[in-house]
Formats: sequence, structure tokens, C-alpha cells
Amino acid sequence: MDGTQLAEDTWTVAGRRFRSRLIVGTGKYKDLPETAAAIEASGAEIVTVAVRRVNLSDPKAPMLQDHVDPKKYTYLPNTAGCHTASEAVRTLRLAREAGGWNLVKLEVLGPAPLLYPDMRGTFEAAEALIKDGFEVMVYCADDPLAAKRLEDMGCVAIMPLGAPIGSGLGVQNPAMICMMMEHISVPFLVDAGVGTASDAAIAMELGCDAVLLNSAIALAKDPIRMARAMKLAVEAGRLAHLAGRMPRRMGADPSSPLTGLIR
Amino acid sequence: MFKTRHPLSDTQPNRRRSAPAPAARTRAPRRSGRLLGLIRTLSNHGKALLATVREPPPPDQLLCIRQDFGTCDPGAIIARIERGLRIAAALEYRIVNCAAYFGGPRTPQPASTPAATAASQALARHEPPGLAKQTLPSVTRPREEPGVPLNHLLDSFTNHVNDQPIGIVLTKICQDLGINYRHRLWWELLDAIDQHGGKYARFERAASNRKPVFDLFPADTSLPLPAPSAWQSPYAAFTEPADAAHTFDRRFDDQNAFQGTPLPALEPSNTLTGRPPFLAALPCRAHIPFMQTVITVTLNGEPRSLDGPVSVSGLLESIGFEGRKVAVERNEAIVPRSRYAETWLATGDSLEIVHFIGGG
Repeated sequence: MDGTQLAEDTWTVAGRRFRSRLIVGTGKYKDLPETAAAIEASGAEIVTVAVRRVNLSDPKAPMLQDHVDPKKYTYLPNTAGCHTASEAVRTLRLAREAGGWNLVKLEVLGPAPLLYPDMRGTFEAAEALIKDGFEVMVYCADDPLAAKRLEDMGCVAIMPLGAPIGSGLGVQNPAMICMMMEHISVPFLVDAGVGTASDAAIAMELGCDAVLLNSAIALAKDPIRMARAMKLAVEAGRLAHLAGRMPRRMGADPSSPLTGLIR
Repeated sequence: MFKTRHPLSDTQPNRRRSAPAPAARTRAPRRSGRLLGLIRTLSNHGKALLATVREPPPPDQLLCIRQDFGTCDPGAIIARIERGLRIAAALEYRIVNCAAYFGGPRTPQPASTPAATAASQALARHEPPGLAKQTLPSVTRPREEPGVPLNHLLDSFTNHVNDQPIGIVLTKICQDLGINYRHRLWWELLDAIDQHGGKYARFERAASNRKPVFDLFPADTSLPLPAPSAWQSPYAAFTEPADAAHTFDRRFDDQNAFQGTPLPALEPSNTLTGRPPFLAALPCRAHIPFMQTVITVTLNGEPRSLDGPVSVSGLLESIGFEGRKVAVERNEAIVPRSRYAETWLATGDSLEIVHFIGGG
């Protein structure tokens, strides 16, 4: 497969078209230059960002926008750290005011240490946000019914977890991911749990439209190299999915012809 | 024998049986619904007053408000009204909780047992109280409608808002809200304060004995004196229409102890701690502060004093965030960028200034 065909393989969320199927977070990096370099290397076009209080004691401190250009990358404000629907809605309204767009990532989390999606809060917040004109990409449990309901409510992307946030355990629920995907027509992403490049490739091979990850790059020894690995893995996984996997069989099937053997 | 009354007992067997007072019998027991209605009306009055003070009223009305509060400092006035509202909310919460406590499903009357019959006969014969004492509750106690409790039950349950009887608390609320004899609820309030263990005389003295504030005004004589009509009814602009006066929520009224109607829920967070949400919901139009020099606001969770009058854009400039990509929330409502310059801050405002940082 050549480059031109690859370039045409795009995906669309909420009317926006993207070439890269990798969405990366901007947290946990050593500093902002490293963040910028890793994002550059990952080839991502969407980056997730958090909304927090400004540092009143140092107003001249460098801001994320100074390094990661919002004109070049689509900022996807998230609601990390929100444990109730009202917190999440409040946060994203502030994000819309700060950034001026309405494509957001909703996550309403349960208590530590799992930070598992709180689906009840997620439903409430999604309803309020959609009513308020937001385009909601929603982080959710690997629950087919919940995912379908979120899609019916009007969420623009469904993003179940592969494993708990920041755990790096990889896609622990491939079967469930496949079953969920069956019923979902909006973009479907694996949002959390990716630990290394092969995990991202697995998620893509399953048929996800994209992968969202943060810690796997930021916490690697060499984040910039890992970012490049992720880019390649996502491309590889996507190509493998498009190419179609060979059937599994319980037994050997020799690859070399059995005729013409020397005896 | 019955020197001390059990707080849950709403009867006084000794006295009542020996000399049943006909007046007390025929009158329906006075429920505290009127008190609850009164407190709610007071709260509404306070909220309206707060909104008016924040958005400067016409000079004559302003003069009256200053007169009532005895100060020219709007910050002090607002702080006092807010304190009054907070105490009122706490009191209301206690009363509603108390009502919920008594408002459970009515317990079925026990079948007439021989003991009960004997007791009722004993009652009829006016026997000495000791005999009927044990069985009294199951026989004679007229179980009131579920709902708002009787006054003395309420008092015994809620007399510890700020460690004081309800009457005193009510007095404090009235003082904080600048209620005086010109207010239409004046007599009603005196009555309630009297009934709930407050000191009527103290309230009246405090309310009517405020110093005139003419000496507090600047020497600017161009400020017109208010018309006499304004002195008569200083709250005319923001009291309810005349026909709404004294029409309390019927559910809380004396004769209509509400039957099974659930009480309006009050969030605990509404009352005792933090900033009451109803303050955030107040209609605060863009207002220009008057005579306000130092403003104390909560900025990103920390108290901060600002030299006023100051708007949101002024604040951003003073802390070095002008022109940065930030979002500002004032009292849990977003301030659009286009309105930074015209959004003036007031003492007690809670501000959040946020921006984007790295996150996954």
C-alpha cells in the first residue's frame, strides 16, 4: 500500500475530518517543550487538555498554548478530575469560554484507585451538555447498552476504556470492545489503558476508528521515541484491520508447497 | 409529678384534665406553618433587598436603605443581608427537618384494649392523674395531622440555631435584614418573636433606635432629600404586590396542615456552610458599585482584597492575565469575554479564573 492511499484513509468526528488516528493527551510530561516535541512526533491532530485554575502567583509562566499551537492542533478539553455531572458541565462550559469551540471530551469518574467511568453521572452530564450545544466525545465503561444509549442521546464519539486510566495494562477487553462496536455507528475509540505500541496496534486491529492515549507516551523513558512508535503502531494496526486478518485455525498449515519435495 | 414535660408530649395531662380550658380546646392547635411562611417571606424580602442594593437604587430609596441599616457602606449592608439570609436559611432548614421528622406516615390507632378502655373511663371520671399516666398517650392523644409540628415541639427541637431560642434568632434575622416598624410584616414578626421565646422589647428597641444617618452623608447637598412618600414605604419598589401580602403558602397554614404533601427539599449545602446557591441565582444585572473602596472577593478559592470599584477586566489586568486565554466565572456563572469591562465586582463575589493545562 502506498502513501497516497494512506492519506485518503481519514475519519470524521462531528463534521471535522482528521488523517491521524491517534489522539494524545498533554499531561504528565516533564515540561512543555517535551510535550510539544512528543506531540509533533506522534503526528496527532487532536490533543486533549485539562481545565484548571490559573497560577495567580506567576502570571507570566509559560502556558500550554505557547508551545502547542491551538491553530495547528484541535484542542479537546476534558473533564478529568470531575466526579459529578455538575462539575463536568461547569468545567466544559468554562472550557468553551476559554477556547471558543464545543468539541469536548466528557469523563465523569468514580473514586480512586480505579477512576472507573461513573455512567450515571456521565448520562446526566451528556444530556445537559448536548442540550447546551456541545459535541460530546464520551469516555465510558465497556458496556454495550450504555454505549448505545450514549449514541442515541447524541454523543459524537464513544470512547470506552481498554483498562483503567493510566494503568498501561493494554486492551484487557478485546471481545467486549468488538461487541460494542457492532452497534455503534459514530466514531469508536479506545480511550484508556494503552501501555505500549502493540496495545495501540491491537486496538486498531479490532476496528477502532482511533486511539486516545497519554501516559504510554508521557511516562516512557524516551517519550519522543515512544510517540513515534505509537504513530507507526496505529498506522500498522489500521492497515492490518483494513487488510483483513487471516482466519485462525487450530493446527498447522504449511506455508511451503508440499509438492516437489526431494525424497 | 409532671414538673418537666417530655419534649415529645404535646399534652399537659395534669392541667388539662383538672381544668379543661374551653378556649384552648376549641381553637385548632397553632402550628408552626405560619412561622415557616414568615421566614420564607423574610428570605424573599432579603433576596430582593440584596438585588436592589447591588444594583444601585434611585437616591431616595438608597437613602432609606442606608437609614435602615445605619451605614453608607454598601459592602457592610450586603454582608449584613447575606448573614441574615444565611441565618434564615438555617432556621428554615431546621424547621423543615423537624417537620419531616414528625411528618412520617400516621401510626394506626391501636385497637381498644381493656386497659385503654379502663383508662378512658378513668379519664371520664377525672381520676387522679397517676392512674391514667401510663396509658394516656394511646387514648387521649389526638395525633395531629402529619406535617408541620406544633410550636412547642418545634421549639424543643430547633432551639439551638446558634444556641438561641427561635425568637432571638428571628430577631437577629430581622436586624440583619433591616426590618423596622415600617415593614408590613412588623406586627406579624413581633407576634412570632413573642411566641418563640424572643425578646419583643429588645427587638423593638434595636429596630427603632437607630441613629439618623444624615451625619454619615458626605457634605454633598445636591443629593435630594427623599419625598415623604418614600419615607412611608421605602420598600415599595421591591415588596410583593399588595394582594400577595400575607398570603402564605396554604400548605403551611394553620388550618391546613398539609396532608402527606412532601416538604420542599432543602439541601444542607444551602444553609450552613459556604455560599448559599440561591445567592448565585440572584438576578445580578451589570451594576456599578457606589462608594465602594475595598472589595473582598474569593479568587480561585483564596480571599483577596481589591481596590474598588473594579471590573473583571480591571481584575485581570491587575493580576497580569489580560489578553491571555482564560475563562472567568463569577458566582458560578460564566462572564463572557465581551462583558469583562462592564461586569463590576462586589464584596462577597466568588471568582474562578481558569485556563488550559496539559491533561489526558
